[in-house]
Amino acid sequence: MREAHGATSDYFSDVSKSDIMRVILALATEVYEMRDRQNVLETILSDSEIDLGRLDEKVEAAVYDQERLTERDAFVARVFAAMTNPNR
Amino acid sequence: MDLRISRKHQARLDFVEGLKVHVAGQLMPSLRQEFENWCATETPSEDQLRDSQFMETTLGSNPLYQTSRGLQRLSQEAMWQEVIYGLEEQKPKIEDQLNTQEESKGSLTLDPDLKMPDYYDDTEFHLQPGNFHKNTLAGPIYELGVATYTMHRYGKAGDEMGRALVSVLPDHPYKRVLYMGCGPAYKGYPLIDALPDAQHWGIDLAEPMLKFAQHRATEHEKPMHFSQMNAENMTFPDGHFDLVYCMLLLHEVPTKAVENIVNEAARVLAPGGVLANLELPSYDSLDPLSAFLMDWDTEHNGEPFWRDYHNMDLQQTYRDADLEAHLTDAHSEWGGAKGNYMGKFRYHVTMGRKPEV
Repeated sequence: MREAHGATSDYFSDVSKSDIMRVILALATEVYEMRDRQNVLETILSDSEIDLGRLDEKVEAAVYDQERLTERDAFVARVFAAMTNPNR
Repeated sequence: MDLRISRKHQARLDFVEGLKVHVAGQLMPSLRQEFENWCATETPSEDQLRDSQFMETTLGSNPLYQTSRGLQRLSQEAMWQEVIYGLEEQKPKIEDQLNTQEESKGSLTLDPDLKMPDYYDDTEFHLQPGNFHKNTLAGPIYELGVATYTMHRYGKAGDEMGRALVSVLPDHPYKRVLYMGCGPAYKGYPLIDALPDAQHWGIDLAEPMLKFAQHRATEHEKPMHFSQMNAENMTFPDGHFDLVYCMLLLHEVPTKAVENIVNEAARVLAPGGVLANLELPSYDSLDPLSAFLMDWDTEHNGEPFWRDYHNMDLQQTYRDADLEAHLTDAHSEWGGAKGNYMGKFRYHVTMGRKPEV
């Protein structure tokens, strides 16, 4: 099924690494903008005297917090799904 | 000392650990299955499977292999980066604590004139930036990094290796105990607990590690005397110790240094005393794929002496130092439960005894 729909084709085999890096760079730029906007949001919340202390509190590793652990493992699995199952 | 880092840094470090867990728990089992399927069809010989060139040719272009190795390497680099960023926020406070000598039942003796061996100065073990001796925060960086590196499978106390060693120690009236290459020394706490009437010593090349070890031992009420010393050339008198041990030390030094360390250990052992070296298992005790994956660390994970160590006959080195030698093994929580990226394993403990006079 996967082969019949061309899913095993290496669509990017001749795409230049430079162009792939340009996409990664564009993505990093978007992430940076998001961080900047988040910083502004935090400032607005802080100016409204909403306590943001929990954002910077010291915490233990996710392995000791089941909710964070589940979220983390699911996130990693989603992001790396294509490289984890290249032959699916 | 509170080594927790702020939430934003811990989140980044959690992600990196999640990547390591993903490699070990998802990618590696899939690779292992593919490899076993290939072996069932192609039926390579045992000699071929033990030949690293053959394995590299077989696996080198496999996408799962490339992905697992690439992510293993990148996650290791990212791990140290995030640990250092996280601890840098607290650097002045940590340094202040490290430089404050508190009252303790132990001691710390530093030697500012001690020359670092070239092999040590030129290496960043496990890719730790600055190695163990060039960053004043090397001890906390190591503790936080190794907990992530081993995916927290050492347990919260980080002492499972010491507990493994205690489980196989022969009975003997140990009065003085030496931990060679002790680093932050918390892996030795189970031996202090098991032998509370003995005097415990720890030596290491790295001043930052020893300062952290002393601070930590005082906090945890583990009486231990720390001294900055090269295990190849110790200043202890002959026959001074009843037990000399090390854990994952000997694979970090060149073969000649292993010989020097064993000879020195034999010298400082009293008649009837024990030398115990706990290590990861030998290549030939592992299945070929696990052995090949473990060997990868030599070139790619800051373990330049790993292969040579696993190729040497350590028991013969013990016998050349006039020690009786045998090999035993001990359960590893790290390698026993879910395995690491190189598969499941038990620790190997090379035990030596100095003959009674």
